[in-house]
Amino acid sequence: MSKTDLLQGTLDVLILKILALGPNHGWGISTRLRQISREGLATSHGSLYPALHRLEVRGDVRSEMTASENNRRARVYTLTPAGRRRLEAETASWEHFAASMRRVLKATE
Amino acid sequence: MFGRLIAYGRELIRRRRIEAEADEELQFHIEMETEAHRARGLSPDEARLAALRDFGGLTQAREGVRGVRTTWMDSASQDFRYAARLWWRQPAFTAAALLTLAVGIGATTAIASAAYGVLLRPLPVHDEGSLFVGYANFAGIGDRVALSWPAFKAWHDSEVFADVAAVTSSRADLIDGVAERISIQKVTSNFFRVIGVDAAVGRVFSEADDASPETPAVISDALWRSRFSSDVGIIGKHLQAGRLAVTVVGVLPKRADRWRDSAQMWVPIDKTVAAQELRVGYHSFTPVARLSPGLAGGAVDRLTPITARVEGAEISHVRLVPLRKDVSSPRLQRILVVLFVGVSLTWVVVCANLSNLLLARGPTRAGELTVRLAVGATRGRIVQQLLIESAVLSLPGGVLGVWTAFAAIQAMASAGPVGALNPADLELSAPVLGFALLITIASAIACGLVPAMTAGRASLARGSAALEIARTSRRWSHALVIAEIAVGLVVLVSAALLLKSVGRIRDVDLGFDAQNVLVFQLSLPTATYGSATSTSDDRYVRPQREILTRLSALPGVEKASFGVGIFNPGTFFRTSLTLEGGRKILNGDPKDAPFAPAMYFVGPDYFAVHGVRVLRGREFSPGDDFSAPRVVLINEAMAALHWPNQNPIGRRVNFSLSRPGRDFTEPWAEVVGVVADIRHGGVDLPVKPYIYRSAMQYPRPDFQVMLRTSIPPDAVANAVRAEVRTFDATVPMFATQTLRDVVEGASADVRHTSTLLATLAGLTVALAGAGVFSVLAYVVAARRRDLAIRVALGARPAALVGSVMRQGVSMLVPGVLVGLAGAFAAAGSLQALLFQVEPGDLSVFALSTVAIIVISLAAAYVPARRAARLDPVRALKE
Repeated sequence: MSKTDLLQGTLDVLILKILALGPNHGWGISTRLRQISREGLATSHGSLYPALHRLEVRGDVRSEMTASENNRRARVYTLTPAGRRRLEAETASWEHFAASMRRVLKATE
Repeated sequence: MFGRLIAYGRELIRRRRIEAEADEELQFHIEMETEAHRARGLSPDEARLAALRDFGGLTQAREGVRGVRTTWMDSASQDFRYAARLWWRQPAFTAAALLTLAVGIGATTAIASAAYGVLLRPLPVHDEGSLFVGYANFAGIGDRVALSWPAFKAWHDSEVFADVAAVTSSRADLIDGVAERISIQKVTSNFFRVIGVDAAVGRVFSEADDASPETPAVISDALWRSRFSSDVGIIGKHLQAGRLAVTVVGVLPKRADRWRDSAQMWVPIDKTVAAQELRVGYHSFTPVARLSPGLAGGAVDRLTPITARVEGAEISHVRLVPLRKDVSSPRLQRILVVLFVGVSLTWVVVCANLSNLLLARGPTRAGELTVRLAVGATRGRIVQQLLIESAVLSLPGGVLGVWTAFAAIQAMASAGPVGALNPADLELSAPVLGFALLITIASAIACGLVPAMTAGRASLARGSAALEIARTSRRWSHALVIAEIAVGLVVLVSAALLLKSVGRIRDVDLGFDAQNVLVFQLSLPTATYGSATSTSDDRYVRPQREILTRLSALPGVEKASFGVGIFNPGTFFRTSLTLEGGRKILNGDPKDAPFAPAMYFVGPDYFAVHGVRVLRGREFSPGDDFSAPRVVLINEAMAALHWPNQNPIGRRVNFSLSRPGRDFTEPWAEVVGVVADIRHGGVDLPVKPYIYRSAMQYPRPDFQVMLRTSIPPDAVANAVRAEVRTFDATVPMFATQTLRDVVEGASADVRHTSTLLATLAGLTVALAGAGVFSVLAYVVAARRRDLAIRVALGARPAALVGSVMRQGVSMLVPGVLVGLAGAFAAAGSLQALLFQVEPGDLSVFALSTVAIIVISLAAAYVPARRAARLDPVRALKE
């Protein structure tokens, strides 16, 4: 299992999915992603944070600085209804894409 | 709209806060990661290092967040502040740039306001585009002849127009207080309705005026301000204008007088025009009507036969001229276009120079730009920054420019340069300010674009950005200087051609001596002297004689005479004549046109006062008055035309006329003298035949008096005024001038244009020279080490100077070639304004080219000398 670099569009939908499981901050999202994908997917953090802020500018998430475990504040992101709708749409198109890929790759003739 | 602004402002503030908190957000991540590593057993330092490594680029993340959060406006305001600091720290450069921009933008705006005011600005009438002015083309008289009253009535009744009004011009004197001659427009009662103008104060004419015994008058805004101090009580006031007793009923809005030579008063025709002038043959009435522009051709076709039938067969066609074209003379329009193009070219050179200066800084800033590229700035961002730097320089330059334009306009308005420019036209109206804004922005883009693109195109991948920027900058600088030289040559040639024209005008011998002659107008008021009942009434002769006697006796006055003014540029009014032997010359007949003379009424000693030789016989004397036999004088041209190789003295002519509408009989007049030719019509008209009649035999209450003085004419003016007042305080005396001013006034517009253009040419050439200087100075500075090495190796100074000069020449030669081509084209378009100067005048072209070459070489020599004087030791140490 190699850690593959992720394109921006795919990163966005993964972030939205993680947030659908519950509000989280950037580090939490990164850890969760690695955990769920069993180390199959990891982000370069240089692109994670810009992606999060971009999602907020687009209105798919909203954020808030809150007090956290250690003495620092962390920015916690929450999915918005618009973001939820986008997640559903993107998930559907990903499933479709994956199914098509599988069909082709499994073809014997 | 406001809601959105507030939301945007709120978003802006929130954004700032988020950016500030981004650091904290990232630090949180790092610390959590560090904790995780420590939990795995690394030491605190190793854990932190591992966390940072795993993170993969803190700076990139920070910049990425900022990139997402910032907008174009944030980066722009950042660039703005940086640019302001940058220019503030270089006061000399900034001051020079601002000054050049102020001059360039200011001059262009000032001329633009004149051009707009005269050429484009709409008159305060309703729907100017649909108003037309009518003229008839009379064979033998001209193309712009007014109609007679019956012809106008025919136009009115023809129903070609929904409504048509008529205008006729006249002059009269307001004599209460300071006598002032004003221009009066006599109009039909529907005039204001047709052109769509309403009074600003009071009212315009109405039906009620027809019934009232009083004559209503409407005055212009300018007259209201200058003579009546904008007093609202002017309404209802009674004024005496010449023979007219009027009651003021209204004041027109500003600029309503722009048509027809700044008229000052309007009165109705039916109360002010004598029945005699309403007959065929008195071509005094100009029709003005409203018509859809597309229908003008058809209207002309219908009106031509109607007009020809009423006036007689001498009309070839009528013309409908759009009002806008009728307002200013084609000559003035052409002058303004020339000036506008000239000033625009100067502005182009200003921008090119500034662009060069900005380009020169390119290589110096290469280091800074390279760093920016490395940190991740896009090319667009760098271009944006450089453009904003140029804008931060141009905007204050533009503001200064508008202020300069304002000052220049004030100066123009008071000095009255370009001939018939009305001060009201020169306002900094909204469209002109808009234009100023436009060229300011254009300046910013023009000056900043080339440096910005040069810098932007440099990329890290291609090795040293600095070298590449330097190379492209140098190439562009060369091109810009070539352009500057070319433009400079074009403007210089144009200005030189005009200046030569002015010189030629001055050189023309008008045939009389304009030095030391004072002229003024007198008007014998009806109240004291009555009104002549016919052309055979002699009541004005005695006062005329007495005035002349009194004035001749004044110290400083050598001779006095009266009559029609001697200098009337552009006019030649032919008269019909019958020669002894029966030959009839009719002034309306094209066949007779070369033979018909123009007629002047002059008093005794007229030609002596004007320094004109009497070639044969004598001129008029005080004895040639009403009771004496009729006498005439002719000029050389007339004598050669009608009595070649004979003695014309003693020949007789007759001015009797028998035509529909004009019918009078005259006794035969004898030719008693021949005078030298005079160019009464100015420099443009060739010498023509003239015939002079004795003013004392046809007395009029209005006449010009001319005095030959032994001291400068201005010195006697006051004494003359006092003498006239002593003679009769009710006689107004006005339009007092020296004859020299009258003559010079005729060419004033061309003279002022040439002065302005010469100034622009000087400016442009100086800027071009500065361009050459700055480029070569920069080249020398950049090549210091190279040149210093050469000196150290034994190169002679002359060789170094030559090397630099060669670079200068490489810019000069193409510049001159392109410039010559452009100058030929420009000269061709100037032809209409030139007098006795060919557009291809070799001496002008040669001199201008030499001038530009000399200036450019001189400008190149200074840095070349500096190169030769380089101290190799010092240069190499740096």
